Amino acid sequence: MVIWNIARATFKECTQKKVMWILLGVALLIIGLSFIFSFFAPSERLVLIKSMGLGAIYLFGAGIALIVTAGLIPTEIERRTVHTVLSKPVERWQFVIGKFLGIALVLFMNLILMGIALLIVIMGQGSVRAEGFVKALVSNARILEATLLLFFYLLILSAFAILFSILTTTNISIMLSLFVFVVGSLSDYVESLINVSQNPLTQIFLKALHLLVPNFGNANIYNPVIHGYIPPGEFLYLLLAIAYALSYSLILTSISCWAFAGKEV
Amino acid sequence: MKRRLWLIIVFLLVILLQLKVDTYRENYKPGGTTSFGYISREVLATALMGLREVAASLLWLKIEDYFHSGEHEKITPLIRIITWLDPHFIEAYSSGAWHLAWNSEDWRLIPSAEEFLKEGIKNNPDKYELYADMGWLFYDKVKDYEKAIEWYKKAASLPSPPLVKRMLAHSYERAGRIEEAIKIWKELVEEGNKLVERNPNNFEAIFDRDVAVHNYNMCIIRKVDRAALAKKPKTYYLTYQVYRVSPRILQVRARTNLPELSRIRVSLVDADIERRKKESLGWQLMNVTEYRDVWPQVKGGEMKTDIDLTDALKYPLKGESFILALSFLPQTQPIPVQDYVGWLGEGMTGKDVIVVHTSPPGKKMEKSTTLTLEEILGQQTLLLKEVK
Repeated sequence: MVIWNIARATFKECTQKKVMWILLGVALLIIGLSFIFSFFAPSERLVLIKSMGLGAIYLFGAGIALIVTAGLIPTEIERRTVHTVLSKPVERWQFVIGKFLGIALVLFMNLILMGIALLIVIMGQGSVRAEGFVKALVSNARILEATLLLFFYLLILSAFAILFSILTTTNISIMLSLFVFVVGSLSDYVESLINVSQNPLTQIFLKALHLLVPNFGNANIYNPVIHGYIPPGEFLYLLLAIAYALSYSLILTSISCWAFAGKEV
Repeated sequence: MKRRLWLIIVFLLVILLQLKVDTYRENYKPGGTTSFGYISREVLATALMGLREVAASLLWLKIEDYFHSGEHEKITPLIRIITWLDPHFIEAYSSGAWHLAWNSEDWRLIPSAEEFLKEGIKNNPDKYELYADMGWLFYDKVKDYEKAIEWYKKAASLPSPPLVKRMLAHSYERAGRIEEAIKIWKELVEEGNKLVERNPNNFEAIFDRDVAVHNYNMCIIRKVDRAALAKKPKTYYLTYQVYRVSPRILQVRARTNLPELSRIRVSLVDADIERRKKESLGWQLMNVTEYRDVWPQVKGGEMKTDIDLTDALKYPLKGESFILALSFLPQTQPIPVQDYVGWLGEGMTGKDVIVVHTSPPGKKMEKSTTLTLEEILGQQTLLLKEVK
């Protein structure tokens, strides 16, 4: 109950931040700008709308996760509101978990809004409507599947931002989290380098990097979603990828709880 | 101690999950068979962030700019990069092949268009579009109807719109395989009837069905009419003169009794063109000259056309001798001309008519002559050759 109350308060606090709405607004604007592709053939237009839309969700989702999360705990400490909360019967770990869940709600709301906006834009295309509403909705609902999978991976990013914000300042936390996000997004590339490399030591290093750094590339199922094909074993893949994201988030949140427990506030 | 143990256990779980995820991950990567040694930095950066499809789409927008600004030479390399980034971007293969085969107006690039489409098919074997594009390449550009049939058959075997099957029927007719064409039109009529019965307001199905009915009837009529041609073939002739108008510009003046509006193919190629093509690297065909014009028409028993070789990039004239050929291919003629000569030239005879194949009987007219480099590059206006 305590955790839930902190989560709700965090959600409320985040939704009052202008920066989040600005980022969301820009993302929705990019998604809604599909009419600029009107001079393309219908099939080309769909590919462009889907790829640009999913790209916008990926980048702006990460932006929201970083900017909103990194300032949360430092602001509480600066304003000394953390004392008020911790003076009540609230454990420090409950405070951290509550914050994390609050951010999860914020991310979920943002991603769902962006995903639904993209789905509406796609459904608004004449060539899609010609398929029949229900058939088109079912085939394009995978936009939401890709968006939801991204949500779990942005939880990892938020967990990193919380951990770094406990250990450092807001700005450093944003920079470090951004670095982790970029390196983690290169995971597919790192894996392909393993096969290219001839040196066994380099191969071991790259493999370790691939396995230790959070693998944001797992959230990228865009090619099948954009071009409308379903790879074999997709359901199992999604389960494994979500389990990975949740496990990684659990590790980071655990470390954050222990770090915050020992922190002077 | 407990904390460390907890962390180690969960981290091991994470590693195991990632190893398991990796076994499926290949299915989600764009993959593809195109390889590149170079690529622009901004594209690479975006692509490496895992957003290869976004990078491909951004480049696609750039292609639109190049197309409208007339910078066509920049389009094909960019399309190659797009298909490298996203090998499932079907439109990129279609558009790339169109630029190579049609828009470039360079016959040397047709094999490259074919290779490009084959690469797209390899990366997207379950989509009908590129098989159909290949069919159209052979039907409209190369005018090799047997190959068009081969590709349209493959396209029609996959889920595809009625247009694909219609093109298969047209290809059969052009190839002179009229019975097979009639069979396909009949199937299309029956399929159309079923769709219209199911939904009488489906105007698209009504239109498609009516097109099939019309073509079915026309095939039956032509089959009867053209069968009579083979019994009384007419003697046709073709003679021509080649003039040099100025350096690199030749003029061909032909006389013939072929039907009005017959199309005569004019070509001028290196005498050793096959060897030169083999020695060229990929899309670099700097030593190959291949001029082809499929449009010259017979009007009032004459055909006159200029062979303009002044574009030295397209027509490098690196060889010592060249083959100039005029040919009349019954298969490629407009329908009113085929009404006189038949699908495969069954209504043609004479010393200028060559039998190409006997089963089914196929004939054509082709007369060639050899020109030297000096003859093409000379200054004075001159009659170079007379071919009778």
